Amino acid sequence: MSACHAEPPALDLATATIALVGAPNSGKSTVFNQLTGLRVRTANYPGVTVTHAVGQLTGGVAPLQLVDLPGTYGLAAASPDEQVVVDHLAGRLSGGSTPQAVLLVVDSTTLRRSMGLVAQVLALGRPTAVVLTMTDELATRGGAVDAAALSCALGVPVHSVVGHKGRGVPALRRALLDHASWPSAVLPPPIVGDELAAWSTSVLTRADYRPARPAAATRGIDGVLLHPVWGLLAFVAVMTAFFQVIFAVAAPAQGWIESLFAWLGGLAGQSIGSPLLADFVETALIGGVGGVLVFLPQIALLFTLLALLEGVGYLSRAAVLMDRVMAVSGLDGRAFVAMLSSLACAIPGIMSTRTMPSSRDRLATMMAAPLMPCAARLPVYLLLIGMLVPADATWGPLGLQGLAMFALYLLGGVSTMVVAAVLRTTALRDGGLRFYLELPPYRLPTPRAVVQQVWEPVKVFLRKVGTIILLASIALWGLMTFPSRAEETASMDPTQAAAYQLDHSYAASVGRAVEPVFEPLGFDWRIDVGLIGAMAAREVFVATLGQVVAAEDAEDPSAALAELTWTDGPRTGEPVFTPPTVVALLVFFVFALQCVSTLAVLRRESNSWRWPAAAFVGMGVLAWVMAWIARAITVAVT
Amino acid sequence: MSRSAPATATVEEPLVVAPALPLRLADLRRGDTARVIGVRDDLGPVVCRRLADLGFVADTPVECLRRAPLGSPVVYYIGQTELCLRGDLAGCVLVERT
Repeated sequence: MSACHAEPPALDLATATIALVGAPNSGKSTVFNQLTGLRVRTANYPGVTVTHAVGQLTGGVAPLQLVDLPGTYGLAAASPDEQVVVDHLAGRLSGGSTPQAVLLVVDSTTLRRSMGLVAQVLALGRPTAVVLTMTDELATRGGAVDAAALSCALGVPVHSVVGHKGRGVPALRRALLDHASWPSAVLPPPIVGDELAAWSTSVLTRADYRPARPAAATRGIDGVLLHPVWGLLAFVAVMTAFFQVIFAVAAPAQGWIESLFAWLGGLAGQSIGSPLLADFVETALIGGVGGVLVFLPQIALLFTLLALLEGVGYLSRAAVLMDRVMAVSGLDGRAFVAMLSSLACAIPGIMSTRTMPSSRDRLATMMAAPLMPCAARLPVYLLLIGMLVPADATWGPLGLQGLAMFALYLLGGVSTMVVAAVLRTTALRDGGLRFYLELPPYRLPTPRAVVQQVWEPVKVFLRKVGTIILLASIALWGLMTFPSRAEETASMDPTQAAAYQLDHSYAASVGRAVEPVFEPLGFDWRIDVGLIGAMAAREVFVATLGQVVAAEDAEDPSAALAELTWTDGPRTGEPVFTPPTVVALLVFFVFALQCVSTLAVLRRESNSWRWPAAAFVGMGVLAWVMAWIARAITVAVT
Repeated sequence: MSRSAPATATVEEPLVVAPALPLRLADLRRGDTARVIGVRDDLGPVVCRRLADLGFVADTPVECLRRAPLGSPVVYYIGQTELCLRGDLAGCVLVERT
């Protein structure tokens, strides 16, 4: 997902391909996972930005690959996701080859509604087989369908499976290996109007279809969770629990990771003979990577909770509840899910906009999402708030540090909405398909599905740590360590020598070069070096300041940071981290888009450099102006 | 629980509506059941087509289940699925009470 490496070719053109088509919530991905197990890789289509999963199916005479296409209600595309389905089936993607056969996944509990999609797929005239999912739920809710009779009526094979229990999957796998024998519809069915309705009725009658009763449990639960009073209370409770888990439960695990890397760093420092190499391993490698890996528990927890909420079906209810709120900024309920994900990281947030049918809604959401207070801002906030507010300061019963943190999150959230609203009333007015959302029945997600949903973003995060963040950390270390001043510092004591070294490093030259830009905000060249490092990823800022103070006083970094003074210019000798400067820095981090990965994903998802460039410049200017205002206010009140 | 009139353009129209005028899905109150007559294409063919794909085809029974706590959107039961729509889309679907 970090878009700075070439994607592998999406499909092996020489291998036979079967495309999986189905409506959202039809159980398509469950069937796909059951058939392919973990032999799955996700890739992007060339030119467009929608990911698809490709899985291998072995055991037949020739290898076979299965392509999991995005969910769609019909083949008249209304979103980028759906366009991919249409283009893939027409052979306009993956080098012009069309899939050999189509496997159409149909939720048996919504069979009548699905007949439109069935007709449209059969009308393509491609060899087709139908998979009926959730037949167990259909039976519990008093419905029935005769798969064999349905097969006769449609003229193509029909297999019924219970995806999450794996029932019917072996038979389906055998059928897939034998796809060459699948028929295409003899007579293309009508796809519109009364003819379609008549055809659907005749097919369903021949299949002895008896519709399922409404899901009584779901109705009952929704009576509470979408209730005007209880529904809102439940929503607040769920969101509170959500953040409690992410921030409180993750803390001990973060502590362990911190101690582990501190221990590793100490070990490296002691056991490596060359001081330069020891410093490289300890500061650049272990320090840089460890400082960011600390967020792994938080990210894993966030995605676990999102996967659970989505799997259970609550996320779509939350979208219904928040739709009216999102409408204030011209967005809809689906954008709420994107914004919620962006609290962890803007990248999954931006990617989750793919299901939005309107491209303008989608762009407005993608452009506003990086303003949401993501997890990468958290360590910066923690460090700076710690310098601004004493840990034991309170306001009434509330800790002031916590209140400051809350204010920063509120500022981020409100700015997101304001920016989205501005975009929706200017550059991205009108457009596209209106909001609709299906509310699936409440279901228990399988552990396997949850694990699969969590593993992907965790992998992406680890890759980011291993590439962008590691490189940035090494580069910054190099800038701060060279050119070597060994001769000048030979007669100094170690602390003085380290300070002299940093002051005369490449980093100092770069920092001093940009100092005039940030001087009105009160940032000295060392903060500027931190900001430059934070361009790669915000977390790097903490690591950079760590490297700066390690040079000053390695024993007590936070005290050293507080005592940092201007080394030159008119303010020489004054402390750097005065309250106005810390406030300006905090506000700068609220607004600035300092994240290479987000820019890369914006570029990929919008298919142009225009949007990431606009976001980078726009948010940068906004950050500078807001930081300046915040500084002026702080100076005035203190 | 009593419900206020749906917050749609109909509020502005005269209260005495000729009986021949078709009812819109957006006009249904909570608990009302109706039958779909058709979909108007005032929001364009793609919207019209999508509403049909979502199950809004002639003669399909539809029920107004509940309104979201903040007034919009509204959840409908159509073709064995629960679907929520805002007033703009629900205004395109013509229904008759059953």
